[in-house]
Amino acid sequence: MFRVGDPTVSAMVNRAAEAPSIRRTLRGLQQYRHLLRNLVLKDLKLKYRGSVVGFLWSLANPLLMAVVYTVVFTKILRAGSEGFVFYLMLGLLAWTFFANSAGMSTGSIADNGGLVKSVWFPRAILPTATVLFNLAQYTLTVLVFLPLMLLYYHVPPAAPMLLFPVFVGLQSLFTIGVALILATSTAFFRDVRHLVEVALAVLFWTTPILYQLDHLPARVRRLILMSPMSPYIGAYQDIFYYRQWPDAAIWLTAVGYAVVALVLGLWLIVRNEDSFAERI
Amino acid sequence: MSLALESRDLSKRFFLRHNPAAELKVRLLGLFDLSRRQRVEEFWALKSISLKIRQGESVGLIGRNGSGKSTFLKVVAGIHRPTTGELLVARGTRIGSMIELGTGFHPELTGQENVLLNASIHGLSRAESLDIYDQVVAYSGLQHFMDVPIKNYSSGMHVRLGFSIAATLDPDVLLLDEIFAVGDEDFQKQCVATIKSFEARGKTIVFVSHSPTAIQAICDRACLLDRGRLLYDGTVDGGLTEYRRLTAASPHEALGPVDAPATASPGGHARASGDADLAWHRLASGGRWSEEGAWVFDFLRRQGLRPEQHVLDLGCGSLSAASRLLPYMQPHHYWGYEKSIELYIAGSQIELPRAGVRAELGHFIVNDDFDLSDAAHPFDLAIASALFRRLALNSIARAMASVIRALAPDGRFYATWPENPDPADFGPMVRADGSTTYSDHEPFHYSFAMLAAIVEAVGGVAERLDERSHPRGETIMLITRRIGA
Repeated sequence: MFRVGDPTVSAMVNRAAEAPSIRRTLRGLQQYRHLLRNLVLKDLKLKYRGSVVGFLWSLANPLLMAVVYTVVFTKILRAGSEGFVFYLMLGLLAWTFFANSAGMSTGSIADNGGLVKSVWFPRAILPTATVLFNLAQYTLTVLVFLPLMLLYYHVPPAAPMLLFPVFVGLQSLFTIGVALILATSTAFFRDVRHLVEVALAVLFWTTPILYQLDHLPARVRRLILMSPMSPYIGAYQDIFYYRQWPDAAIWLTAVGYAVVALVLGLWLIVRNEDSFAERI
Repeated sequence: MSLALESRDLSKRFFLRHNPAAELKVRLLGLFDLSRRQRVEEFWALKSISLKIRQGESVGLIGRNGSGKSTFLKVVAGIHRPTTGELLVARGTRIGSMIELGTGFHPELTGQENVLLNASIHGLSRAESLDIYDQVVAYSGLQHFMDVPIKNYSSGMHVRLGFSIAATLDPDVLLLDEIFAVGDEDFQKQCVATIKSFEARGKTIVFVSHSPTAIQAICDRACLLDRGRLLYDGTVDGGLTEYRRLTAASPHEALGPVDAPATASPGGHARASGDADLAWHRLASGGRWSEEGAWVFDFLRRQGLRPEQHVLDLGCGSLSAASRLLPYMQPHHYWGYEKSIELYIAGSQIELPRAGVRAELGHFIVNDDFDLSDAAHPFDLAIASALFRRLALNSIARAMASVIRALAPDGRFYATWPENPDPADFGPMVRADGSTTYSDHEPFHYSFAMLAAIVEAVGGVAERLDERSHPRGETIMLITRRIGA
């Protein structure tokens, strides 16, 4: 149910002439924020409903990862210290947030045909909810793991760590932008799903997650720093592992990529909002 | 009462995509291979609908499947954007839609969770959702099931919960689509009672249904849509009568693609092969396939057709007349013209073999624009049976000009068409079979004067015959070349 125009002026509004615009979409998101919240809660509930230990399952996965990487890097490859596993985990957790969001967002409009074809609401809600659901999972995991890891690896607190929420925020905005782009394009080209799988694999290796930037030749390092996920993951490693303030390049790219992705995503979904019901 | 909704000349176009894979592959291959290119066909689901709905009215939209009534509802609901025209809505109106009851329900969530989620899908805030929750539960009578996942609900309970939400949302304009399809009698009575109370409170209701009982119980006005056009707007009884005529008059047309160009794959519409008359290509030409073919043959014989003459069958379709004319005429003296390649293929591969006739005995021209320049001889006789009913006047003019050019100096061209006796009257008019139509609505009804003027303009002379033998009751005219033209 939605209200047409401004109720205080009594006249007829021509709905056919209301052009879609970023402003209208943002206003819609604001009006439907309760739906956004409910969609995120629904996904969280559905994920853990029926399992006995519920949320603990989502901790098991990173825990297992940490154990495996510790064994591989310190016992088998003998390539790094235990402290390096801390470095790995910082990157992997943030990467999982991004990769899961991107993967799930492709279907967020295309797989919701029934809803999109029978009720009007701002379609941007669907991919946004997907990202926020993954953000919620990431936040919960981090809330449990980060203190544990700081203790386990004997990392003393440092002032730069206060920046963590800022970069999580920037990464979330960037991811929402990417999700809007992917959700819109999948509605028109189903191939996007498969492309995303390939692109994620490439992106994973061009992001400094399993390796450290200072081990790379200077030329390659600059390229890797330009990779879209590098500034965010680089920032987490800076503030927790190196315990230093992120440099200007990281700030610039982190903000820049978030703005570009968000503007592009909004522009794309607004342009196509009216044709989803016909195309899926 | 002031207006709640108004559509002015509102049309909605969809694109039907024929290469079903919505994939990049199709686009990439299409660059190199034309046959793989996605074929996009326009489909006008709504054609200039002008309708005013006042506040407090309950309007029933009726029509056959695919008539556009649900599309209209979806346009009003904001799900589809009109392609052309205007949709005026009173400022401040709250529009609630129940296009499908229970959409957005998630099977794993409980009744309670689904109600709250659904309320937010319909745009309610958290406080508003909690406010209506108790009412929804009371209305649905499902108090004991609210903590049960919806997957364990019966379909009746599912719909009951969905409708309860719609009823409780309390919008100013309520759009309902086929909500009586499921649910028991008690529930239906409850629905009707609720809708009545809506009406009593001055709410506007737009209601799509196939059920005459429901329409009669709820609506005080009915609008009949057919193939995207508004055919009737008036009383409920009047609307239902028209609707019954429409469905009774043309059971075949309800199945076959008549005004849509027959672009579907030849196998696509084939019905059970046992009943030849229900094959798609027979339906596409209107359903009186054998009757019409027999009539064309008999009629031409009565006009003096002899095997050694050259005859043109304009709009030969799936070759109902050809299957009789080909064996009669000398080889290569029959020429058929058809616009739709699918119909021609169905005719030459299904109908002619069935009749034991070889297509090679005749010539066939299949193109889009009545181009007959391939015809080797001038025609002594030409016929277009039940063709003009499907053509716009411009196309008729083109066809006339083309045939007249291809006629022998003393050649005769017979054409049949459903006649509109009064050139200034555009309907509504009652057909021979009792159904109602408009002269500018397909099948088009043209007056003789109009067609005669076209014939005159393209160098012919038209004469209206008195013979009434056409199986569809169409009038017959004779067109000859004007001496000196």
